[in-house]
Amino acid sequence: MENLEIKEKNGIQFKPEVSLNANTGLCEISGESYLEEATQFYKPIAGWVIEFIKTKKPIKFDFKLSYVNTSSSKHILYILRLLKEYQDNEGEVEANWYVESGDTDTEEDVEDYMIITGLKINIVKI
Amino acid sequence: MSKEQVDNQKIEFLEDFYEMLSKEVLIAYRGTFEKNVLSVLAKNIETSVDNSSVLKRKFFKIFLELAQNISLFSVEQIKTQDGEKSGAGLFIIKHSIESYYFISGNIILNSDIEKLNSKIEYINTLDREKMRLFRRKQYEFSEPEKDSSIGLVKIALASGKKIEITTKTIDSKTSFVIISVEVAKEL
Repeated sequence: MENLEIKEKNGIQFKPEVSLNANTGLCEISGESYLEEATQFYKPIAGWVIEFIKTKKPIKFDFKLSYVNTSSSKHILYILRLLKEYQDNEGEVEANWYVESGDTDTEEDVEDYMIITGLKINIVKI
Repeated sequence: MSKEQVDNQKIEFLEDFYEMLSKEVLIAYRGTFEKNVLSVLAKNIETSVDNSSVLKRKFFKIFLELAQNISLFSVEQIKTQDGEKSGAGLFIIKHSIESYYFISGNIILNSDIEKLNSKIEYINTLDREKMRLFRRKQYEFSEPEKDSSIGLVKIALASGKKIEITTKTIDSKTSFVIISVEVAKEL
């Protein structure tokens, strides 16, 4: 299974950077996710997670997203649901969301993601 | 109504809109809200606020949600350089001693007004917890590409105040809609 890396090109804003490591299980999505074509962007990421889960290896997902638009939220929720399902099936899952200290709006967003998906996400204040 | 009359009415509404401007305007923009424009505007917004990064984050959220609203629902669809269509409208940020004000304006179909009005009216009746509950339900059932509900809740949560909406009829098919929100300078 291969790693998945998506890097920002030519300084285009609002597209998150993605790094999914198939050897270590360390995954990170960072930046801002303001995407009109969110499905196109997130589909390979969800596909990668589905494949990785089959390896039964531990997975650690770090979300460092400071802004997620509504279309992107739906896909993030899907990834979180996949992680929760994996955890329910004895998979080792750690999910962290990095939030700027004082940014209570984003903290509430993450709390809502936890309520919807049932997955525990550690809120890491930076 | 003749085309000239309609044009004159549009100009009148724009004049009304610009009347809302004062010396305290930080940003005023009219045009499309395609990706390239958004990034330039977002950068300007970041540099136009004071040093509070939490406030900058709120600005960014409110701006992008309002811009998205214009892009999706404006009747004035303009072809961008990439060949994509993007809605056009107006966007203003101004401030007073205590608050910042975000104002968006665009032309919408009269058939969409009632829906938009009732959504905002409903959101304005909710407290923070109920707003979040409403948003959680919307995540399950709504299609974000066609529905503005989640975006409007995000705006209301970020501002912490009620959303204001004003509409003015242009003709039998279209109206001009102004959505404004206030954010306190001291959080």
